[in-house]
Amino acid sequence: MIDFYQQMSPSIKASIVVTIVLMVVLAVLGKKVEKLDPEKPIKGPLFLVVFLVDTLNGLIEQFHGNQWRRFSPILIAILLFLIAANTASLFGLETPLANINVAVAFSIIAFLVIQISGLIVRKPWQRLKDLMEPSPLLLPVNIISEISTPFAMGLRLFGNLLSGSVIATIVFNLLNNVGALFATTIIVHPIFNIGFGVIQAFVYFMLLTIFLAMAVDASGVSDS
Amino acid sequence: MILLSEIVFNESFVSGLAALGAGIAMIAGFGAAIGQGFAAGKAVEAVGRQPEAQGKITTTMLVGQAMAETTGLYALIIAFVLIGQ
Repeated sequence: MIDFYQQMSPSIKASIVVTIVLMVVLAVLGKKVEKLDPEKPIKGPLFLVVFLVDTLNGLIEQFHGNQWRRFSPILIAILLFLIAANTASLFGLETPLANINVAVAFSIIAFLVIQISGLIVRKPWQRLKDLMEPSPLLLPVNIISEISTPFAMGLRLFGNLLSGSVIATIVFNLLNNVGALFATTIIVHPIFNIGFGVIQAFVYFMLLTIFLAMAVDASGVSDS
Repeated sequence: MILLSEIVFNESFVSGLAALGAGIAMIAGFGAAIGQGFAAGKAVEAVGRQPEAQGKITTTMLVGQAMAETTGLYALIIAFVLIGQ
């Protein structure tokens, strides 16, 4: 078991560390939120948590209508993991998404989430009919687009994070010790980890929300 | 002048051409840059027309720019794969 862990690439180790830290933090926060008194106003950092979850739920509700409760847990979990993973190099970890295995794992997650919820919500026969829009001749093209969109989403994350970590490595190797520390802390990390990383996490979240809404409700508009 | 018969098709020839190909692949960066600039320009126009919607416009612009960046990122991945040859 220990050997297995030590032979893994640093990106995958970092993704495991991020997962464990997120699990512990979210479990503690969830216990604290559970104990809250709904009558009293919320104070402190817990207010931030509740506010964030509420905002994201509102965002998901815009796309999923009255079904938002079914999808918001996995969407918010993916968003939280991506934000934590993309900013993980601030804490001395390797960026998990700079490894293509992690990125393709995200593609697979997106593919499975979209297809399984489409099958459950729309029922298989209706889902097949949705894929045959606007004409049955386009069924192969639609199936290819169902597979290629999640793959493109994963590759987008991979390319962005890989370019960030490569540029950080180049800057770090070009300059001498003090200059490298200065440049990476002031220029490279804020732009490529906090800026682009969080934006890409949000873009992935939005795209997954939109494609999920399209697969679940083919008419696109969900009233109420 | 180099005669065609003098070229040796060995491993360094392959890696040199792969590096050239990586450079040529990054020409795709033009497209991404033009797309992002176009999105930013339109966002500035929108803010000029409706200054009160600035926050929403900025968020939409950032998401759109990240989408437009995709083609450039694919070129970057291809360039990395080619460099690894």
